[in-house]
Amino acid sequence: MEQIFEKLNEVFRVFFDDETLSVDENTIAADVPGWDSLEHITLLSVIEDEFKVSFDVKKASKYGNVGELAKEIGKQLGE
Amino acid sequence: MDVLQFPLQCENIIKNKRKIKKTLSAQLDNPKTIKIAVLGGSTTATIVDILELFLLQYNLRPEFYQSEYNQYWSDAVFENEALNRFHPDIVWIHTTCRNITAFPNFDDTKQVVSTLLNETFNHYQQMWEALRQKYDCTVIQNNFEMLNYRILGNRDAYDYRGRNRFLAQLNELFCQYAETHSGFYINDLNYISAAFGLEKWHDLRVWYSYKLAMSVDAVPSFALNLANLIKAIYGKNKKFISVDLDNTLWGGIIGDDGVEKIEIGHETAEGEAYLELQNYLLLLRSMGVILTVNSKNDESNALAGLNHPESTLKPNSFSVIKANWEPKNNNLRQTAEELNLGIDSAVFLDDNPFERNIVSENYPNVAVPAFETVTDCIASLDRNGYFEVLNLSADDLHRANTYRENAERRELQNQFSDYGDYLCSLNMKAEIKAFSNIYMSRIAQLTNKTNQFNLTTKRYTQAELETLSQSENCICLFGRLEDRFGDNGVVAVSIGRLVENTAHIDLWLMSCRVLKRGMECAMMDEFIRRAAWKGAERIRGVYLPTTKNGMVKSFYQDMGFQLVEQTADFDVWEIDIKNYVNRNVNISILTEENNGTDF
Repeated sequence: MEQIFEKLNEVFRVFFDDETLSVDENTIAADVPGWDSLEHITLLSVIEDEFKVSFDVKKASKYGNVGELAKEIGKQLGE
Repeated sequence: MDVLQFPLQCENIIKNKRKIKKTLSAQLDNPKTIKIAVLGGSTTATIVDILELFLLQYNLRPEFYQSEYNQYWSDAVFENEALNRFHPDIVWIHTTCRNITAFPNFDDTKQVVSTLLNETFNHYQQMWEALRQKYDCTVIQNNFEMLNYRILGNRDAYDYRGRNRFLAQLNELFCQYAETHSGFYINDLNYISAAFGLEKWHDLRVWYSYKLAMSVDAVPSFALNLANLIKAIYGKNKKFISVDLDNTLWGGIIGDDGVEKIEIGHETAEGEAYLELQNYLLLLRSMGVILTVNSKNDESNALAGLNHPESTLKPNSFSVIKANWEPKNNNLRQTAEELNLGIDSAVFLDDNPFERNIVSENYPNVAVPAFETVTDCIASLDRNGYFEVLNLSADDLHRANTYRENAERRELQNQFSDYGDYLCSLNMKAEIKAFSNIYMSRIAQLTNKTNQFNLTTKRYTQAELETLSQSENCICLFGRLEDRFGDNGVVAVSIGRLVENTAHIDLWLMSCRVLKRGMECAMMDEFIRRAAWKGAERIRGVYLPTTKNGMVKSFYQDMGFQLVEQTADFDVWEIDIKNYVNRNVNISILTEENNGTDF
């Protein structure tokens, strides 16, 4: 799980072009400048590519915080 | 920027879009701002972000208006304050097969389907015409991609009730409209989705969740294709190719292997591949792209290779041949100078990464397509849209010859010690008239791509030019020049605007292919004659310096104008018409009965 957060953090920093950004399980969209509903599609697509996972259509828009995202990634990676 | 060239690294572009934007924004050099209204039938924000990157790369700075979700039709057709205020240069209508609400039913007659087809088409046509009427802008319309299913199987393609057949017929109606309306362009979504692969293109997850009508990974390919069209509208096409020979136009090293051993022609698989690339380049040439050779070879070997019986490119297919041992960046610079073209209008084609690198390092604005082997080469040239064609004018088809005729003129010039005698021997004849419809596409093309002999570098769309030419107080002139070696076509454009008793010159440009021929003098004589006829007493011209138009810094001075204002950004020149003396000596002006009353 730690590795997933480390990698997620890296993805967020690159994608939002902000080296100071740091995400944890409680981070929500409102905490990250630029993470709005429109950017959500692109962000999820980047995370899918990075982790080689695929988010379900029913859940994709419902992840409330980064913790839930990480949990889903972990589940798919068998961690 | 390499990452924005085909073959595209989609994931990389999407992930790094903010960084890429920052880098490109820092490199902008006096960019042109363009206002693009995006009228979407599905989510557009994701696409607009990536489209912006490709446009920034062409030194274009886009500002966007985006319609509310799926409001494309009402935004276009009804009164729209926000869009009026925005005043778009371009309206791009982003509709897809998802926006077709009524398809044929299986129990419909042919008559019913035909009516449905026309109704659907009219829905779009109404929108295009409302936009043109309100904003006088360029309109870009997507055509339709094929569906993610074929309900009738193979029959879906040919049965009159087939849904994919219906889309194909709509696409055909769009084409017919585009053929007969200037300032209207099709963004070929149908091709680009097929090239990407329909199965990957249609991502139902992002459609259901976010109403994005293509997969996120498809967005860069789509944006590149659209950006190619937009940059062409703003005159940012490339104009010539500088091409290597050994292992680029044929397989093998001719200096080592000998002419009989190089791979070209139908004999071998490798030879076939090089032949197909040669034929592709020949097609580019026939639509007006200038071909030149840039090869590390003895010239005799280079010519021997091009004279190979299987080589379809011959020495006279090229306007300039540099076969020597000089660094290729130097050869490229000299080629551009000899052609009187800017070096940033070059595409450099070479199999050797070292040579590609030395050119990119020295000239970052030269396009340098990357390819692994000859089999990738056509895709790289094609998909990067370097030569995106907006109109195929007679002038384009003739261009390759024009540059060869120029070489003959240079030869003749060497026989004369007096330049005036040489000009006289050319038997030049010019047609200088008010804009006419048959030349309008060429006038627009010249207006948008001329950088050097251009006093203001003001750009106009064809629609704007058509409007100006109808205006009572405008003087819109084109000049066409022919001589004993051939017709140079339309080579000069001038636009003036009468304000009280002063004619302001808003645009004054000439193609560099007729430099030092006195054409500008003939244009000025005619411009001033017409200005006087319209009641002007004074002419006022402005020189706006750019990085490229240094050659016309003293143009107005040479024409006898007086400098009346000088600032860091521009010079203003004036002349009283009564003080102007006609300057044309060597060009006879073609007249016709009604000349003098046709404006």
